[in-house]
Amino acid sequence: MTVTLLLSIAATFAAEPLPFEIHERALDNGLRVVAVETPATGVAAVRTWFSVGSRDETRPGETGYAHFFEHLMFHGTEARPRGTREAQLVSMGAEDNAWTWFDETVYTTTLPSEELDTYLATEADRFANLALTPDGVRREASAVYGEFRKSQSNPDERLNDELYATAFTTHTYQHSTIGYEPDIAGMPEGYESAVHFLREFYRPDRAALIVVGDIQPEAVFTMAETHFGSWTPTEVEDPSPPVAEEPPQEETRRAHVDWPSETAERITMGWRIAAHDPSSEDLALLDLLAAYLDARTGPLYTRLVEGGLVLDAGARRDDFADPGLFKVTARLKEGVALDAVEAAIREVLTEVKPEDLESVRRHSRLGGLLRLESPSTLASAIGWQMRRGDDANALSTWLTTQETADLARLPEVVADTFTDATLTVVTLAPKAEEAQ
Amino acid sequence: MRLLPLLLVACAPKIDVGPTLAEKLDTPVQLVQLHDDAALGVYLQATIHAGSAFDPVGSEGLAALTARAMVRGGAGDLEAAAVETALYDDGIDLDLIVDREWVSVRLGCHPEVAARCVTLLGDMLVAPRFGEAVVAREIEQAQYRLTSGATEDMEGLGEEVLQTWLFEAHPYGHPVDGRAGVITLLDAARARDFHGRHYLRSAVTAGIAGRYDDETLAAFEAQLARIPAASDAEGDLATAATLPAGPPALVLQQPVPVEGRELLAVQLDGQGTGFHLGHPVTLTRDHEDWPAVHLALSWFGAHRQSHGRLFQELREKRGLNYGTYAYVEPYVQRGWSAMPEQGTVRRQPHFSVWIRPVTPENGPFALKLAVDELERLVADGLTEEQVAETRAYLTRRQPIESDSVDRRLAYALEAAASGMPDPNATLGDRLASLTAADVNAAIARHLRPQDLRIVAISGNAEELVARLVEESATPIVYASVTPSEDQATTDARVAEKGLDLAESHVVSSQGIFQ
Repeated sequence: MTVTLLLSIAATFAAEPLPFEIHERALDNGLRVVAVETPATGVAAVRTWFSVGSRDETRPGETGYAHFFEHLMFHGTEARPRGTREAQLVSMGAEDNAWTWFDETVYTTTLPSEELDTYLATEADRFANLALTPDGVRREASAVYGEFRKSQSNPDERLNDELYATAFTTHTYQHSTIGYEPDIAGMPEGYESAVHFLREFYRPDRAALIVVGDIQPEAVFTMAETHFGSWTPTEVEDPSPPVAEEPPQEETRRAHVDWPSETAERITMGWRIAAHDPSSEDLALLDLLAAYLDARTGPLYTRLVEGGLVLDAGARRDDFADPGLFKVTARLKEGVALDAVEAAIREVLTEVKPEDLESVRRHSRLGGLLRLESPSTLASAIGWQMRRGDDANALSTWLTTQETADLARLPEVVADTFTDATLTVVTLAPKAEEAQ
Repeated sequence: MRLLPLLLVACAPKIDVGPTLAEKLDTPVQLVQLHDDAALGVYLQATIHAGSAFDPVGSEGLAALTARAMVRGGAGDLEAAAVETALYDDGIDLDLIVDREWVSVRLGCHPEVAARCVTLLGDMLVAPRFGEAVVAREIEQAQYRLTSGATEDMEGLGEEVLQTWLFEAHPYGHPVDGRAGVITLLDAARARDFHGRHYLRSAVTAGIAGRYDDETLAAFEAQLARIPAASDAEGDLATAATLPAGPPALVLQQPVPVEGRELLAVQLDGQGTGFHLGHPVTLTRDHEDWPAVHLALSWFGAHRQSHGRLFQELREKRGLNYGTYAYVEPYVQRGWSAMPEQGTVRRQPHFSVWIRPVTPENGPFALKLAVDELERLVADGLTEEQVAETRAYLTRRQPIESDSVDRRLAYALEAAASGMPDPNATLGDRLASLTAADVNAAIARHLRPQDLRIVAISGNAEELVARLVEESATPIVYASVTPSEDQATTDARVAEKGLDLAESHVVSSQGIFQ
């Protein structure tokens, strides 16, 4: 599964101190282990969070490999041939999945906590000893192509892809996580590339193991050491080229997508912003602003939707490892001009007042607590803030930054962020003959 | 290209007159309580028997419009905007699920604001304002979902077309959103009237869970007591006592039986071809055969899991697509999670298979292979070992699907409202003694591979139908996989398999829910 429009998991979390203690340990091989005990009776949620995503796909013709690997990682090992792990998880009644985005690939399992030791032994084996075969690579490539096909009927995904393709000229955020179609078509013969990708990126020092639920942290650390401790990072002789830094944007960029069938016109506007940093007050203010804009009480809804311009609208701040975008997106009502909506969005952005964001803080403090109820959600939230960093308490840091950010600085941050020079606008509309 | 309209045949719901108000006036709303001091929040839920099957003929979409406008259109003393502010400022989660039979309203809140949460839900249920502007926007959104929006999700479109087709001339036989062109004729007055006739005490089941105190519980009970027993409850009680109490119960006639195999191919521009196929079953969750068929279909194609037979045969062995799954009843996925949504149980469910998109050239083969596997499932059944493995899977999975108190409440409430067993309390026991003979006999009683309605969503719909009808063999085209000898033999047999389609039609996706 690729994630192109994933909601910010931690955007609205409890700003009060987290109700559970976060324990962490680093193994000698660099693997970070995080354990949180919660009252979830008999259930444990595990997230193995790899710092490799489509951002890291810098080798020509190999876009989509991070996501491809999310699939290949289910192909078995010498000790546990393909299907063995799945049979084991069936016997546990586990929920098992994975997802990939720009900065990460995440393997997610929720299982009976009494099976944790058995499960971790299997996971350690598959990450350290995956047995790739040319035939397995060819077979899996077809499934990826199938996933690509199912995404093609969705205009929102196409609009979002075009936004990043236009806003980024150099950085790998310019291609979607599922990859370019010619590269997907070439995956069946990509065995050598897959082996290289595995050796280069699936290393313990690029991973965090997060375990939440009915567990004892010390026992988790012991299990992790037992099963993952012997996993040794491998080195490749020809590492992928480094991710190119995106040059500064100097003027507004525009692009348009012709849609082959009847659909509502759409607009998305993205302004370049800094990479995520849980300690950044500016980013915390932008996050609060995005949450305010996104709410049904916010001006995108009250002015644009209730004002009869659009069917719906939303805002999101990219919290990426490298500089991303602050996005505002809307689906237009029939007969409304794109120019009018663009102007309205610009107007809304400049009119938000610092005091407007107070309600977002209260909303986060009260409502965020509910999203800690499930061990799965809490495990994802911890991982989301750790990501490429090594701080298991990044979630707490981020919540504190949001809570303490000086709201009075909002106008300054808005003025610095929402400039024409850093703006990319993409529109989507039915092709002329369809519109008629 | 021959383009036929997909007919959404209207059907008037039949109703039973229930007990009189005098008999029901003192009966409180059934309240499920799951107190849990370890929980972080307080959760309030109400399930109302007022889903889209209750839509009057010519007003399809009214039930969903009513539910949406009820929670968004203002409540009690609060205008719509004030409700939104109250929800947002207090960090209250509002979730609304509207399905064929049930409407589920769920509020989650911090214990600090539980009192406010209780009042809000009470006012939504008892004193909705149905603000005109909100109603108009909900109508506009529904109209979009039924027209352009329907074509933006090829897999959702296939599932909805199958449901409407299986239940044509039946109260389930239109999308929850209604019909394009009909929904625009509705208004706030109609929603208000529908609410007055259906949101009555005997139609509501409520629940409270989490870290609530006695005061909150008492306040919630007081709010529920405000729900009228009958539409005229506020009038002259002497007169009202002679009226039926509560909303009339919905009597569902049997859906038109599916006989033989029929194909409906929907033309939707795009790169892939996907399928949904199935037939109605009489297998409700309280049926003694339900656990056996649920087990068999979990083995055959558990939702979004890789161990299913269909997943293995279509994706793992042949690389045909992203996944293929099978269901004993309609399955609504809950957001990003693969877990099922609650509040979606039906008294007339249908069995289905979902084949995710394949390349157009492999469409005929993928369909034939799935049908062939279904035939083998019914003919050969499961082994004792497969039954044991799947029983373990389902039994141990249930607590994982209910890993938070609000989820457990949703399960319990669905069971209490529908009278069906709560899987959390009963599934393990019901599966415990099943043998392969039990399972296989149940499969044979309820699954009919020879009687299927098949919906294809395809960018090459006309060609797909032509190949299935006219070509004697439709072999698989492997992009990259070299099959084993055994697999190649199976492939050759399946390629030549005739589907014996009694009827086949091609329709356009444009205007399909008109």
